[in-house]
Amino acid sequence: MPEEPFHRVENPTSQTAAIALLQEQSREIWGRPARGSGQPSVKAYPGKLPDRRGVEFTTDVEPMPGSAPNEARWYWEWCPGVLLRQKDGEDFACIPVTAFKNMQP
Amino acid sequence: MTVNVLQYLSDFEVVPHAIIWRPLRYCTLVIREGEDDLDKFKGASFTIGNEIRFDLRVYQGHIHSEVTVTLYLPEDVRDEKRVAEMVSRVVKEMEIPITAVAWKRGQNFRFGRLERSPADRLQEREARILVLKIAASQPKQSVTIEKLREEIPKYFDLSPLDRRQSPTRKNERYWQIIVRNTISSHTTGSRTIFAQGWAKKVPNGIRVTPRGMNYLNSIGFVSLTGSDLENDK
Repeated sequence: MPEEPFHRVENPTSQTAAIALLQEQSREIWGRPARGSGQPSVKAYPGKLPDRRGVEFTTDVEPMPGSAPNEARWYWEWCPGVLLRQKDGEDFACIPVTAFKNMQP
Repeated sequence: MTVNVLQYLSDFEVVPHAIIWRPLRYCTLVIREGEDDLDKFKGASFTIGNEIRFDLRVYQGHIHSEVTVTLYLPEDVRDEKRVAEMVSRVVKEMEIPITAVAWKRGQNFRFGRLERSPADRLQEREARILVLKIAASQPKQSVTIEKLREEIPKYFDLSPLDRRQSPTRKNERYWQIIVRNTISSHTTGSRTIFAQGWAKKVPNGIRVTPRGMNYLNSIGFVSLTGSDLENDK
């Protein structure tokens, strides 16, 4: 079980302030498949949120495989505990969070 | 086998499989900016023959982002043995010292922790290529010794071993002696950049020859067109 926090930084498409609010309310982080991939995944940096706008969270779901010391990834189907969510016909990987800080209000 | 640096970034999912303790500009001059679900990044896409496609990327939020670059392979390369072979091949073909690989797939790690090998320091073999790269990035592919000494810390994270003061030359550090030896007139042997035909001496410095540029093209540092390559004839 990961003990240290992870963070995502604000971007105009997949980590907007509106999405951060949804994450805070649902206690879930969702991730689309990358371009050219059919496998949805959640991606985040390890560690606390540095001096940037974004969100910080902890989760009980192990981020393996495909992770590295500088990047955490949770692939649906390949990581136990990663859930599949669907919205508007699109698949998302989903991880529940155990703690969440919204630093992009 | 030539490492080809592409003029565009890959448009498929890639997975990190190694972290190299060298900045991106050490690896290539052909740097693009991109953005994906994680963050903004700088990087380049490469091929080796028809069999290996890979990216080198540095994301804004990577740890040690100023001095490391991460090697990514396509998502569909999942067999661990194949991944290990491809990582080794990339490192070899790009002439990156093994000591520069700070982490690779299969090695244990802790999130947010990355340690440089204590053995990783500037050695003469790497310094030869490094001075060539720096000269190639300058106007007219020429560089003076003074400019080299100024630029090297931007391309290579000098370790405490590199920064040790020479016991015999009080005004010089170890890395400065290695650089001087690399381009000094008394250095002989078949491996020098002059013996290989990759560089020529100019007043107080060196200039990269067309053959040297072709060599840098072959390791993915620059991207030469067909007409550029013709100049070597």
